[in-house]
Amino acid sequence: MSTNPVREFFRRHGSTAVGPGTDYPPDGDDPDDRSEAVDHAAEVDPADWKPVPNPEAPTRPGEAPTRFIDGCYSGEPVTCLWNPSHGWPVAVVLAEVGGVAMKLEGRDLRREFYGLERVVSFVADAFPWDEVEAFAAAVGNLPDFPTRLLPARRPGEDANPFVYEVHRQQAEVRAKQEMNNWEQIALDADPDAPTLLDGRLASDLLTGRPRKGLVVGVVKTHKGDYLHDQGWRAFLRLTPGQRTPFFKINRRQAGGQSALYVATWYVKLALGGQPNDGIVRVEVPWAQFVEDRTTKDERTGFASRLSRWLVDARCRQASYGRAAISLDPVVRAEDSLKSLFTPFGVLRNRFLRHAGVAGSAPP
Amino acid sequence: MSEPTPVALGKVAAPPDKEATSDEFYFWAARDRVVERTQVVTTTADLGGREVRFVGLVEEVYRQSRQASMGEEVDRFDADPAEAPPFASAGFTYARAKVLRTDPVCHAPPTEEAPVDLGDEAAARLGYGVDAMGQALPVGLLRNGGTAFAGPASIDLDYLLGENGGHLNVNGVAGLGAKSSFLLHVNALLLAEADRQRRELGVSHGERLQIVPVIFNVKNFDLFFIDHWGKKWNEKKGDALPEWRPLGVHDPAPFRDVRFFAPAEPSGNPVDTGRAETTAYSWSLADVIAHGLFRYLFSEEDIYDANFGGLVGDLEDHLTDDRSGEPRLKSVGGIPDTFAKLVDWFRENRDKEPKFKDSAPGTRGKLLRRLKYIVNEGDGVLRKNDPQGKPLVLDNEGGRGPTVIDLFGLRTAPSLQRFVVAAVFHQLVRNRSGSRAVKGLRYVVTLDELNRFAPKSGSDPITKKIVEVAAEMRSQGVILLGAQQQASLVAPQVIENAAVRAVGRSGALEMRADVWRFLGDAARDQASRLSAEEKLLVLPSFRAPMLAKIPYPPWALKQEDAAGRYDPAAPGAVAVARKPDVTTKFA
Repeated sequence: MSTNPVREFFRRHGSTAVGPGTDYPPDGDDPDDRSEAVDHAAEVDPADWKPVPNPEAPTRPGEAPTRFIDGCYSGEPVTCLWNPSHGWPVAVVLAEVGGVAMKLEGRDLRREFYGLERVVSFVADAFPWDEVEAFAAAVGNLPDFPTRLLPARRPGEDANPFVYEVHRQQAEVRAKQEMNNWEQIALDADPDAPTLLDGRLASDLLTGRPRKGLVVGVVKTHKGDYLHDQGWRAFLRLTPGQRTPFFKINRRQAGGQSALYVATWYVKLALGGQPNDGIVRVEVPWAQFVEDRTTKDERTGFASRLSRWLVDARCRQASYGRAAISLDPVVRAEDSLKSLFTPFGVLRNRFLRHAGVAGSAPP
Repeated sequence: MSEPTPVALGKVAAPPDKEATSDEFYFWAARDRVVERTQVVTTTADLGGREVRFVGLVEEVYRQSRQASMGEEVDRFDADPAEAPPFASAGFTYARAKVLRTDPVCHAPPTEEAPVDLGDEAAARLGYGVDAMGQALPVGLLRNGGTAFAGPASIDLDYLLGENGGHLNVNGVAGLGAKSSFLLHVNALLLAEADRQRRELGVSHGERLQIVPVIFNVKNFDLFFIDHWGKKWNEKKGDALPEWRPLGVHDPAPFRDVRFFAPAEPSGNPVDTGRAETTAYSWSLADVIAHGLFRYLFSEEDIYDANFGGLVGDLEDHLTDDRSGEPRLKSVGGIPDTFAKLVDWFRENRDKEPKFKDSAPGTRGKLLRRLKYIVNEGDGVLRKNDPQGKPLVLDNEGGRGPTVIDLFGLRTAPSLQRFVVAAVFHQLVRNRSGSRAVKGLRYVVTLDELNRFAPKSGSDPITKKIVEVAAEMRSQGVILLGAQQQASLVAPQVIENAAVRAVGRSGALEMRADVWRFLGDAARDQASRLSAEEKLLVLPSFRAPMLAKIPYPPWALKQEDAAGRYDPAAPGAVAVARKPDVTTKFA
């Protein structure tokens, strides 16, 4: 019998190796997406929406980001365990997650901060807690492979726990949440510098955190439907360098513990093959957006100057797959962080060897 | 004293297509560091629990942007140089390094992410195995990038003077004075080293190094002023003196005790070399017989014709009295004692003398015609009517300066040039053979324009003599310091037998020749871009050529360059060779 608690855990629960699989169901919105009230009249009357040309005016001090935050996630399910009481298939996701901050010095971008962690996640409630605790301690102390256990939430009442993908998604969401945590840590490392985040702003972004520097979120994919019909028409007619009018959304966390009002608008960075290509959505915390900008004209000017800056900061590498919706500093941040990750094939094989699922590591 | 802090340059990288091997590795450079070709670098890797130190030589440095194509480079600026993208390109620098040495010996590559430091003098010594050299002779300063040096650039005398190999070959284009200058430089250093050993070991020490330099002058009378200061020395010595010191030479000076020889004219005087202290050299018939040079009077195609060569041998036998053990011209029986009489005598007796009747009449007639031609063409160096000449007699012990022998005065008679070269080599071989040999003595023969005297396709006696010297005589103490513009046009055996090679700036086409394949692409490209004072030094023990800067010479390289004559007796003018700053093992 093995004396290795990691191996013992996997052996006892009938571990079998699995591959990445396919999305099922398709990635849903995260909890923040759940109830967002949208105000389309923040800049112009909703019926008057049309593309807004951005002037050549440069940004003012404090308006242009000088720090750039990105997070990375590299993970997959690597094994499946069997719940001892009900027989649910529980996916075990292995991942490396991290966050990075790039600082602009002159025209050079330097890696100012990074955090990186190796994690394993699964629905821990599916197993006796004392076994989970023993496993967590053992896997965290593997001499050449320390890995932190992230217990994932049990699937909701409406989910079928016999569906493997349900467990897999729970585990992946938990691991990606840890990536968001690293981004937050990177953001908090310098609360004064104007900072650009890759992605949407979390509802608890400013909760309990003193922050002077502007925070800008840039969202590349558009899952939420924030626009009304005239808004869509304006969106689809954007030409490179133009933006939509800004509007306001109220982002609330599930359960309502925290909320964030966000000023947001779409900017077309570059031409693409389709009308909706090359467009990103910009988010700025409403409190920062209106601070020192008491009139609508001042807010309009800021949105336009920031949009102009984003167009200038666009990625110009045609060889980069998502160049049309990417910003140069964010691509560099991503490259910088990804270079620190272990190739997933290596990660997977090492983990499975420790788990005794494959390989021949001594007990 | 604490160790100096190494200068961190970067880290080893081994991505696909840039894998490290036991022969070379790549490393990226820190953004604030400049990495240059020719820099010596070090890295240390843990290989199987053993720490292995690698010393490498940067062969090429690369800069790469983040863009995937030239189109992307253009797009960043929208084809407008005035445009300024908000973020710099974030390009990076990386370099390829050739592994010079591992310590301990390990036939494995360094591992990725191993730190790479700039090498210093100690690293360079380790890399080029100076610590393992039998007798290290610093000849220049070892380049460590564009302007820095990593101590002296040393060659191993065991490879130059015959212990493990022998001879030096220098290649370089014409016009830079780099070949002759370097050959003289090595002569000077060898003399200085011999002088140092004489002083430190004593004159009576049986194995001390003794050098007899023999220098052939092949162009103008340039080398007839090597005992004069160069006109630019005063201007250059401020920079040059600090470069001489690591070579153990603290007071560089022109050569001293130089003897100058030039071909005799029919009058018996030497050709005009531009200086009075020139001694004429010549050979009478008796001298030619006594020195065993008779066959060298004839051309290759003649002497290797069996009939003709046999008849020449018969004639030489007929003229030679070797009863005393040493050949000499017979003085009895109506044997001619001058070349002119020899022609007449042979005309009279070619059909009467029984010894010659083995040859066909046509062969005898041919020999007569050749003799007439040689005697008439060579009048002066070959004494037509004089029974005694002034043959070149070379020292049989060290301690004196070089002997400069002019060949330029014979430029219109290539066959005589070859005869003189052969006569000298023949004498050296004889001096170094048998009971005449002096222990520790090295004849160092300097000969430029090897493509003329030992051409690639040549099989004449002179070429064969030089090939023989290159292939067989180093163990007997005859060392050839040869040079040419194109090694590809020189007899391969002469090049291949040179254990020490120095490559000055050479033509790109020449560097593509097979003879240079051993250098590798990086060194061949480098050779075409060297400056006049730079040499790539190649020894069998080096894994990559060593780039050396040769200090500016104090002596004149030609008459127009000559200032005052060097007077060793003048205060402060004595060239003193001191022990170099590096450890050497002699005797």
